[in-house]
Amino acid sequence: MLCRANPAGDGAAQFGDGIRNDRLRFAETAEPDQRHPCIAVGCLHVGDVGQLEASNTCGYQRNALTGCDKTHDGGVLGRLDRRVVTHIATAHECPDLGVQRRRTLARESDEGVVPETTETHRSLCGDCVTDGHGNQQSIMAEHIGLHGRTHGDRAGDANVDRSVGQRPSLLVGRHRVEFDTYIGPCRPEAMQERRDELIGGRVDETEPESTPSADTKLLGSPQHALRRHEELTGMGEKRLTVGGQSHSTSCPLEQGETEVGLELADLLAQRRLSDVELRGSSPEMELVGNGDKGTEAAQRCQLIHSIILSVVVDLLLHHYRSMRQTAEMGKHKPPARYSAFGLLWRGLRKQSWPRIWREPEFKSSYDVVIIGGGVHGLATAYYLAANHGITDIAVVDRAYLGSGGSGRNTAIVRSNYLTPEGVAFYDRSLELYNSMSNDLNLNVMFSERGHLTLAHTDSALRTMHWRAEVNKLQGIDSSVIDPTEIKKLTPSLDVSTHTRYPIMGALYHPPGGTIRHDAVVWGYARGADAYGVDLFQQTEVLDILTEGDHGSGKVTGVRTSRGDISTPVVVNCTAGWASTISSMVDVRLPITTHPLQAAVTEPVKTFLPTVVVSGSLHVYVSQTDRGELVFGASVDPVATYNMGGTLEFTEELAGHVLELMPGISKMRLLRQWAGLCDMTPDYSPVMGPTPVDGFYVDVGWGTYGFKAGPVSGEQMAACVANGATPDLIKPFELSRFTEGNLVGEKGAAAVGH
Amino acid sequence: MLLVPCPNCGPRNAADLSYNGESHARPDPTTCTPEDWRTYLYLRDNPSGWLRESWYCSSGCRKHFTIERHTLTGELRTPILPGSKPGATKGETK
Repeated sequence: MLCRANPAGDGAAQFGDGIRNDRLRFAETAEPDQRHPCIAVGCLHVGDVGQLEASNTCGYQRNALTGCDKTHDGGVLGRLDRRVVTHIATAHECPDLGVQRRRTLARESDEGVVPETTETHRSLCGDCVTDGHGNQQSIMAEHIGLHGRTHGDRAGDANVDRSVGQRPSLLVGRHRVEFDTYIGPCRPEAMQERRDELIGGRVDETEPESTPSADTKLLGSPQHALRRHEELTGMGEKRLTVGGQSHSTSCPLEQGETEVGLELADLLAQRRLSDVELRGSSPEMELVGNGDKGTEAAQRCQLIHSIILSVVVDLLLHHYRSMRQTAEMGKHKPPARYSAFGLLWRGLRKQSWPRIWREPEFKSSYDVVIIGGGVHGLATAYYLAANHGITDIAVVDRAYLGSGGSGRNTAIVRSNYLTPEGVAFYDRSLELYNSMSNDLNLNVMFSERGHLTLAHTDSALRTMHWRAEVNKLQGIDSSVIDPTEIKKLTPSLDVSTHTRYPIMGALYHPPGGTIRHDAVVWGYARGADAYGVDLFQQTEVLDILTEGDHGSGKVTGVRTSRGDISTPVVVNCTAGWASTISSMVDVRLPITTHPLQAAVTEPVKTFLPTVVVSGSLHVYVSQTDRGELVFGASVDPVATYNMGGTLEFTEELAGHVLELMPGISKMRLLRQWAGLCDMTPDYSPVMGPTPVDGFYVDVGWGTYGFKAGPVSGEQMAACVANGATPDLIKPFELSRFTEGNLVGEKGAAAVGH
Repeated sequence: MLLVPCPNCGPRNAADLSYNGESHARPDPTTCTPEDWRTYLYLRDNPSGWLRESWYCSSGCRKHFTIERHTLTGELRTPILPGSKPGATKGETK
């Protein structure tokens, strides 16, 4: 392993303000034979919240210290700190696997893990990860060089040169990290050079005349040294240097010393300030500071040029990457990329757009047959092809793609569920939705507008608090707000106390929102098609062919209205019709099919900025980009496959909506429709293998299937490709019903209780 | 609107009754295994077609009864009170 572990308190570089007690240290490889030259990743101890340790971004080993499994993209994570693990795991690169370093910034900073911690970590430790060649020695040296104090104690192990004398250090929070500015033993000449450099820097520091401020004076050495270090090691990558000061000793913070704030913005600002001061201190830059208007104009011009240049470079890079991506898709012709430029080009030349997916030939054999061309089936096909390289797939649908629940839902997405299993699962889905437009090159019109779940009773409020706490523990942005705040967020709601169901509070979930559901279906269909997946519409499955005993045999094929297909794997993604497909192989499911009705009003000017859900009133409402109000309700009480609308529904809906928003009584309903929901007893899905070999189910999606579409596709693809159920969907296996391990999500999954 | 023929009260709006769901023979709780019991509790046939199900005439005679219903067309037939023979009721099919 490249980095050495430091037992807690053993001089580990510490970050944080003491209250948060974030500590950063480096994980140790469990077994020498598991060593991998790519990475050593830090671990963050998050004081009161819990502990996580990211070990190896390659997923090469389990975490040595906590046993958490982690993968490059976060994968299945420790219970508490998924966000951090994801962040750290993606922050490093692995030359062996060719994974690009992804410098993602942590987005959230309210739960004890601050973005600058990781950023700081990277600034310190980014180089220790790899030098691009997997050279352990140099990596080790770099690492030690940058973490002098951390690893200085182990100098004997790694030949840390401690004769340099005054070591620069920086302050982070209340803690100080020192640098041994040091070049690894693999390049002794560079080491000598570096030592000279450092000595020179110290000489500079001792010249008070040339350094107007203490900050500037202190900052010079580590920055300069780091820059030099980059040059010497060929690491040209720009590093975020934390504005800090160099000190001769590693004593605790003394009174009067400047403390570097925790906020990333502060760090950056301080750095900029220091840079300016540095520039101001040099004679040639003083001219700039004298307010010469011509020079200012030139500077502005230069700035504009650099912005334009960077935009152009970004565009070119994006184009290049997309070309690479499409080229990697193999022999199949990549789809026309949608872009503003493409729109203009085709508009000017009056070109028509090509079909979004092919009309493929019906083959008699496929590796995988997916029944159901909705968002779940198509996402499974897409991720099987994209993540696992399985492209010989047929997706069959009785009607048209997205004709079932995918095109009938109210397009609300959120992750504020009640059980830890549910929260982890739906949060991954929200992540995938967030990046979907880019991933699929199709605008899915994700509107992250916030999601309010109203509480009208004490018990409902208690459940909201429960959910908020579960969510916060899992890193989900979710909190309970009072009627005053609700009124501020959505002024059209009646929060007075004289109503039949007064609003007593709400669970506010800012990441929730709406998406255009058709676009999601089309995006996945187009993506899967580009990988060579065959999509067959108007192809009804009549039977599933098996060999062996009923209910425990092996799948051999599928009989469709177009002919037989021989296949070893069938995935049932038919939602409301799940039982009818499963009965073909004698697999009984814990599912009853109920219709759920929805309705939409005429379009009006935008007045409802959030998604509003009321469990007590059995209604949820959101306003589309077009201005229509979309209403949904609870499922009808009687199980049926009939999708006709009823007058009872509209009457009840209108009454309930007007209790929430009396001001919209003059609005007219335009239309209503129904979709079929495959309800399970515990309001959680049924995913994974069944007693019949090769027959997988992704069903039981009830009233929450759309918001789980991407993640269930991703996980089902992993399940089918690897033949093992991924941890994220392990709690949702069919066997939980006979084992009695239900995942009770009713409190958060529906409005029908 | 679904008109459900109660064996005692005649055709009633489905909203006047409570829907109990699929009707299955309950295993003997003293002798069956936990797996059998959970199968009885949770697993359903859920066919798209004729289904024998149980209703409760909650705002009428307050009796439970079973009836066959087509889950796609909404057609209803042979309502039966427990312990009685088919056809010995006042129920009408829709």
